[in-house]
Amino acid sequence: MIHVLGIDTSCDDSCVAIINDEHKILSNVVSSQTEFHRHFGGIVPEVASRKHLEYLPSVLDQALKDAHLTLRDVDLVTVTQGPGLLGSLLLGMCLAKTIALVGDKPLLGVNHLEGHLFAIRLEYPEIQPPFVALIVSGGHTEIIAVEDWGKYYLLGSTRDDAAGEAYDKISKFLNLGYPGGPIIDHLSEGAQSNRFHFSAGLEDDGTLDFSFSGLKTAVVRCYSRLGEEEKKDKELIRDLVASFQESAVRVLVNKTFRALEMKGFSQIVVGGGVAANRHLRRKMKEEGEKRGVRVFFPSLSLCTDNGAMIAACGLFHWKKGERDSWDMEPDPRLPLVSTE
Amino acid sequence: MKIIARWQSKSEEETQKRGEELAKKFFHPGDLVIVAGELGVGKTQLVKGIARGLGIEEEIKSPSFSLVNEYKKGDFTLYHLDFYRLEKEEEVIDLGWEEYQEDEKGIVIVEWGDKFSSLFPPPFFWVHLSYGGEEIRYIEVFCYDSCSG
Ligand SMILES: Nc1ncnc2c1ncn2[C@@H]1O[C@H](COP(=O)(O)OP(=O)(O)O)[C@@H](O)[C@H]1O
Ligand SMILES: [Mg+2]
Repeated sequence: MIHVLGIDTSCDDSCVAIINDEHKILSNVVSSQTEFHRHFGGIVPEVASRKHLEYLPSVLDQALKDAHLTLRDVDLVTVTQGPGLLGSLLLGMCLAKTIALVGDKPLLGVNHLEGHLFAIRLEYPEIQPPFVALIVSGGHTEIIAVEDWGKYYLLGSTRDDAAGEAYDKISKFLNLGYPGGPIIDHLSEGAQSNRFHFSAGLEDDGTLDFSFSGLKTAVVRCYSRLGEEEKKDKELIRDLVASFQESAVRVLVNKTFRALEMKGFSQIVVGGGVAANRHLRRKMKEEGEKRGVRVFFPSLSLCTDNGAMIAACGLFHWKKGERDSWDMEPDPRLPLVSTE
Repeated sequence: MKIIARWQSKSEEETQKRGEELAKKFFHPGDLVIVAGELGVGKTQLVKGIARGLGIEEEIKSPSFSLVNEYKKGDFTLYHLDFYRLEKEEEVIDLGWEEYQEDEKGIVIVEWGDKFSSLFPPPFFWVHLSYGGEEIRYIEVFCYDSCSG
């Protein structure tokens, strides 16, 4: 049995996981998880690379403990090489190299976006490409044609703000809190999503690209025009965010299915933090049922950033004989490329 | 401090054009540009234009999440930063932003830079965007200390 360690520090969370070569998750620890918080004694969220330095050792410890393993049992070390914030990537990379070097274990750098594609494999090992993937998060909005594992074509992406970024910005602007995704999703439940009509940008332009900055500005303008009483009207604010969510989800669903038609594929995989959004899940499934298309969503803990998906992706490349050397460096703008 | 430009823009395209103009007329390697203004007012749109004016061909995307995006052309680098998500000065310093500033050949542009303006010693450019009507925006450009022109 092979044990694969997966490390991801591409953004704010420190993530470490261990899987085996049957894609079974033995542990999956993320620094923002409440269980981890409890062990660590409470964390004030902070956007800083040096936070990884503080959390990584305990996240690693916890991952080993949960898996009932020691570092000696790890057979392969995988780590996110990019894209992401350089300072943060460096710390994950440094940990990975140290473990690999000290224990004389093979090392593999993984593309974070490709990692998101592999998340689905941990729960649906039977899924076989080709499929169209939609990766949506705070930093990503990408439609990718997965012709095969390792063979990708970027079909479309955002030209300005990512989908999750629009959620966060609007939520903060309306003083609803952070993170905006789950908050707006929750508030929108049962609200009137047709009370306001927002264009989601590039809706009918024929491309598979997105633009969420116009939607963001439209919601800001709409709110600013409200009277003082209206601004305090909780129902109205719920309708406002529900209408925003309706537009955002509509354009995500429409473009993903358009991509599917263009490619002639019959499966869709959704990943990234926004894939946890209930309205998106519902609308995708509905449309899929209508068209006889299977739509796969990872479970919530595998939608958001995690080390397990990095390990799964690394395992695939390792099995193909790929190895990385000690002088591997993080690349903040690492592009998603095909390997075959 | 002196004001070097004041415009009204009626569209996204016009704002981008103004950005292009700013880049060509005023900005030089080593410069720091702070872009201030409310959410959704058009800061990133303006930076798209500035980048074009600086000869960058890639699409400029919002760095709110990634915190910094680097665009290269030869040995010139455009550092596009965004402090929207940052709450503390330490977070800014942790970004390694002093290194970006030390690149004499690069230009640093910071959206929401006004949040931590005490961290910037002049000289720098300060672009302020504000809402007018529906698609109307006001663009004011200031220069703090010995900016070239
Ligand atoms: N005159 C204008 N100048 C700039 N943007 C405009 C203008 N009129 C409308 N817009 C729209 O406003 C939005 C500005 O978004 P963005 O540049 O992301 O804002 P910010 O970066 O300030 O949050 C874009 O969708 C753009 O199309
Ligand atoms: Mg912006």
